[in-house]
Amino acid sequence: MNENQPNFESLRRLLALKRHEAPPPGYFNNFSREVIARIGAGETGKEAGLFAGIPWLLNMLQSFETKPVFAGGFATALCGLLLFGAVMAQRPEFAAQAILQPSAQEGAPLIASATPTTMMQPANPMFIDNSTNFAVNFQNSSAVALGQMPVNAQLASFPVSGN
Amino acid sequence: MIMAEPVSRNDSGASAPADEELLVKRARAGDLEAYDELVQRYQERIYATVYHMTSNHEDANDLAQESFIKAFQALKSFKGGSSFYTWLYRIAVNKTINFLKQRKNRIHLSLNDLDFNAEHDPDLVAFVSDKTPRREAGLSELQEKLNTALMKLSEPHRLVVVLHDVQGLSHEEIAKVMECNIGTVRSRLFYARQQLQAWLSDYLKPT
Repeated sequence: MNENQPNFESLRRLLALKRHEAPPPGYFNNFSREVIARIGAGETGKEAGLFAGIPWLLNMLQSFETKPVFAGGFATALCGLLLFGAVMAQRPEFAAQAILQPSAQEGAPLIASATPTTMMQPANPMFIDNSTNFAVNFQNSSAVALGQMPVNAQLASFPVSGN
Repeated sequence: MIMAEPVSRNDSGASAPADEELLVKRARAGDLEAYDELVQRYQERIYATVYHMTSNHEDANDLAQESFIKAFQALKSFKGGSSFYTWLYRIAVNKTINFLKQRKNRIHLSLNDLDFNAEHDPDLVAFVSDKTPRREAGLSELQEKLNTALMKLSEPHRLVVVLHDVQGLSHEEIAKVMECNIGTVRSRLFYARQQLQAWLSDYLKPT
């Protein structure tokens, strides 16, 4: 493959016509002034203003502009990460481990370690509020979950001991 | 005025690298006067590259200005690994290619007039003489056909033709601007010329 084949000579001469296409006379007299005026007017990029406090992020965005291969690599890595997250979330053992892990801590206070799921279990039917001496029976857990007053909630009063 | 005629450059691609480094350093520190000088130094070549890629004067004007603004904004990330000239070209080329991808299938030619010298260029006069099959074609018609044919090329192929055959950049410089190897530049140039030759065969002088 030889790009200097003589049969391209005619085409090259024709392409030289493009060099004679010129903007209106005096066009470049104000060009640089306009560019500098736009820079001076703070048009150095809205993104520069947005990310002015995060120089590494600004550099990264600028490198995307000058080297699109970086942008492609970054996008691929991001997609890969999202895909990995989605696949891991689908795996049942991973999801179960994520749910069970907090309540597996031994010695932690019941309330502190309780998740909304464990709070609704029948094993914890009674919640006693010591500050008000009120006890609420959580038999209607679905109502609790919806933030509604349980139907069979009863106010219970106890004598304050020790006068 | 002949626009963006190939100029002789040294190996680094810059026309005057000695003070250019200083100008870049000053511009990086926020000196707009220094940057103004850099803009004046490259405005015609950047405008010409964008114009030949878009075949539209108004778009070329906007994109060339935005390229210079973008370059000023990104000066801090310019490490000097390549010459300022190559780096600036890369910004303008990427901006132009992004623009062309967005406005795909909405090609509107807005061509600059041919300068006075075109009518006296012996090579071009030959194209409108009786040696071409379309001998009635005037220079303006030839200009329009040439631009239409160029716009049919894909952006990378058009870019190689514009940078090499119109702007006069070497294969090595084009490879740096396009961030590809020289073999790719050569093969793209060959393919683009073949395509153009086929589309413009009626207007080309038989060799």
